[in-house]
Amino acid sequence: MVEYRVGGSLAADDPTYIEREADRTLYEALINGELCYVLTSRQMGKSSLRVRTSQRLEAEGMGRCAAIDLTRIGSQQITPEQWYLGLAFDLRRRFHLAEGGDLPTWWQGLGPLPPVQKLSHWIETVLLVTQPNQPLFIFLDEIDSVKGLSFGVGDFFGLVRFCYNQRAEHPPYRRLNWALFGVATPHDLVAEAHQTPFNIGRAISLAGFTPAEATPLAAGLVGLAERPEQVLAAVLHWTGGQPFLTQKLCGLIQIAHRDNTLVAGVEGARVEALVRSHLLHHWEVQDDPEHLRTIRDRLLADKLRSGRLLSLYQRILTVGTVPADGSPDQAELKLSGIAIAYNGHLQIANLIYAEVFNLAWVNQCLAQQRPYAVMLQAWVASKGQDDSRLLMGQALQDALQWAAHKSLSDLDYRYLSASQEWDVKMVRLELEAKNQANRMLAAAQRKANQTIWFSYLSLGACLAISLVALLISLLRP
Amino acid sequence: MIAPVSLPPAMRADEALALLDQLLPGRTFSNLQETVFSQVWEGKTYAEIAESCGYDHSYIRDVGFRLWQALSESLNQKVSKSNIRAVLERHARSQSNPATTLANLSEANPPPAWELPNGPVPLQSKFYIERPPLESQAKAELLKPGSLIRLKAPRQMGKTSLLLRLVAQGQANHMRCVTLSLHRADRQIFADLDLFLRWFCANVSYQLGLEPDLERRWHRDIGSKVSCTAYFEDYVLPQAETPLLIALDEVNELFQYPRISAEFLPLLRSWYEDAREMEVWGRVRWILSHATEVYVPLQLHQSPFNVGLPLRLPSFTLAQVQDLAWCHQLPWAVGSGGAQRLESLLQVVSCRPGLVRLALYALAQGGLSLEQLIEEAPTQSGIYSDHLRELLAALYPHPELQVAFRHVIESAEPVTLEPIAAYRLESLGLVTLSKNLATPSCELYRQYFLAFLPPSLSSTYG
Repeated sequence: MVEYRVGGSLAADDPTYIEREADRTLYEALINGELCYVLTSRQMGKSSLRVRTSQRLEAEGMGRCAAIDLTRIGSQQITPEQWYLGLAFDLRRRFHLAEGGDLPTWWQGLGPLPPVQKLSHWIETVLLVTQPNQPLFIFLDEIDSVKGLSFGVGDFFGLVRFCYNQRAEHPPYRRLNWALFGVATPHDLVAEAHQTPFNIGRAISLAGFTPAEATPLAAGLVGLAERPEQVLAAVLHWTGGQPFLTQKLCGLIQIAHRDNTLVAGVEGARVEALVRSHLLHHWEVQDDPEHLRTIRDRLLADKLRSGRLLSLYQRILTVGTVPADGSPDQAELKLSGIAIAYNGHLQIANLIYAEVFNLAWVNQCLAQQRPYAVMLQAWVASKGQDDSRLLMGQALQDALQWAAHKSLSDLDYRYLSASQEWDVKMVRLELEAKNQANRMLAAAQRKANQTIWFSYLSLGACLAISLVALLISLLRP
Repeated sequence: MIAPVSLPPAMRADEALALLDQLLPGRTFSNLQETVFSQVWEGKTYAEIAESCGYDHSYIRDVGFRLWQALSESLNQKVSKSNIRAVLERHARSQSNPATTLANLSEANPPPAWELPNGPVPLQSKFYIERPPLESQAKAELLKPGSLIRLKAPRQMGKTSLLLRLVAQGQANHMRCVTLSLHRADRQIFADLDLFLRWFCANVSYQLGLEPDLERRWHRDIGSKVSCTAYFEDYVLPQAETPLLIALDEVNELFQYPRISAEFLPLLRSWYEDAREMEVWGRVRWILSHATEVYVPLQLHQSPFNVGLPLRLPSFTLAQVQDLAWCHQLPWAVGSGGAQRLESLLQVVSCRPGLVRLALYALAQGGLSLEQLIEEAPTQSGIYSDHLRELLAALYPHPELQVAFRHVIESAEPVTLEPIAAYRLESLGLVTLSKNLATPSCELYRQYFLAFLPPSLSSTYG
């Protein structure tokens, strides 16, 4: 009985391992001596591909392979010295270099050299010398874990690049090949152009199973369904060939139809019913092993960024596709696994994601993030009557900026437009009040001026009368 | 004076069938019934029987169920898969002793050896009630190279009891077994990753009877995780070809120490993954038991909690409670009348195995009526007082947990809690979480803590 595997990597001889385009391209690129990297989302089968490829290389006598899981070398407390020595130590063990020669002592003997140089020295004088005449393949898995270290490892990626640059002058380096696996963009890993090995390497893209590739999976449904191929087609309709979901759904069908055969004609309906009851319904609870929750967390983790990611996702969800533009936000959506590139466009990876992370879900997430959540709540509580809960001035400008390019709920728009109206009204009222005040001020001024003139006049009149009186008294004999 | 009768140490299946024929002269058994009977007699599970005779598991279970029903009626006492051996051996004894008859069997029984109902149920105990298909599923998984089983349930649900049985199963299959309870480890080993990993390696070595060779094999210079891996790959694992079972109990203890768990759990996961590629790691079978969800932030690919076979330990079913009551020689609990009588108890303690077991033990001791027990249950003088005091003490240093739990027990509706508080209350077994909503896990806790939880000064909830 074929047992479907949900979560974790597959052994090289697992009957449910599906060969994909990437199996061939990676293998051929490696034997051609290219530096390869597979950077894609979680649970796409990266590690299974690594296991399979290294076993094939060794079985076909192409050379020796060593796989290093970088999570295992690093830790939060580790120092650069320990990290590089740990890497050398692990490489030595994976290549089964003869015992004897105490590596830590040898390492100390190099004195105060920077650790990356010690590693480089070890590769050149120990690894390449003790393993003559055959190609060596180094597979580095989980390379994104280096981001969790307390120091930068740009130097290390620089070393990988250096090994390729050395090939022209130093022939033994031609035997040394690297393949890097992880969930990251090249830029996330190395910022400096002169250190990055990614622009001289070959990107191997790892896509979901195509219907043709997935055919061997039908073997596990033989005997349980009258038409296993149709069942598999219905599965792929929902999973889009995403490896984890495809294996999980096939496994669910196996359990559900152990005793009653899935008859011809109802495959689509039956698979849909299983998807709804076992994957979509209360998905947070049923998501074990974890898959959907990881995608959710990846979208929501970065508070500063998730608003933008969600609105981009929302656009793809409503429109269907958006042109791929290579922006960091699009790259992040692809790394989360929720979107895939297809024919120069970004689209939702499969129907299950589209149903789980549907518009209602996006709206709810956006609602929780809106900067005016508290005010809105109070406004709703007052049934929209309490105008003092509306936004004004800078707060309104901030809210509008946040809302731009998002499609929000009706409530949001009602609230924002009520706020805008209120804001305009307030501005107008303020203006009117100001004008009124000015008018009053002007009137008062006029009045004051009149009074002053009147006083001048009366003063003048008084003076004139006094003058006349003076003249009269002077002229009187 | 009756002459002592010598009995063979254990009755064989064919002898048992012969005895049945003798006891029930009018009855005939079908071939399948006889097969099921004799294989159950030999200790096989329904799943194994189904496998061996090519029938469906549920069908065999039905056959078994009807067989026990028929035998219960004919023998006039409750017979089940777990007690058939005891019942028939008693009959064999009573037959060889003419003074006793079927009717006064129970008086003829030697008083059962009572076990104090605290802590895990001992291996040989007849008080362990199986919860199919849990045990058979776990035992089957255990035989697969490089497998990992996760047992998840709050306290008092029987995690450690099951763990003990799985380890015994491992030993029966010639595995080298290691059981580490993280609950019992000194707190200071959690202070530092290096210390913790050395503790882990040393303990595994001791339990396997190996001389811990840490001084020679541990290189601080290469980092503790690489050292630890090398220690296993170069020293522990190659010692023998036989499989190695490593059972870690109470892994949730680690969650309190994020600096350790954020490194150790991913390391476990990577060893598990290595079994796909490296024969030495394929020799290891892992069992991890934990009380809560993992609330330490772990990258998905680094978490051992989303691989392997996850098993949630369920509460008892009513029938399982009745089985346990039967083991405690409480005949009033049998049948539908018994179910009704048990109802009042289960309303208070729900079907949580630990609590049910304590109640049945107390009832079997005599001197306490069911009504009395239920009335006194949530008080300082009830049978649960120690257990409840322990829980109260566990809450005492954590005002925030007290506030959260008070909110749960005072509310008529399920309530939302802050996630960490929710997980910690769940791990103590105080609340049941469904989606994000918490309810008290049984009425007993609600009543007791309403009375004894110190009144809170302020509440951040509702």
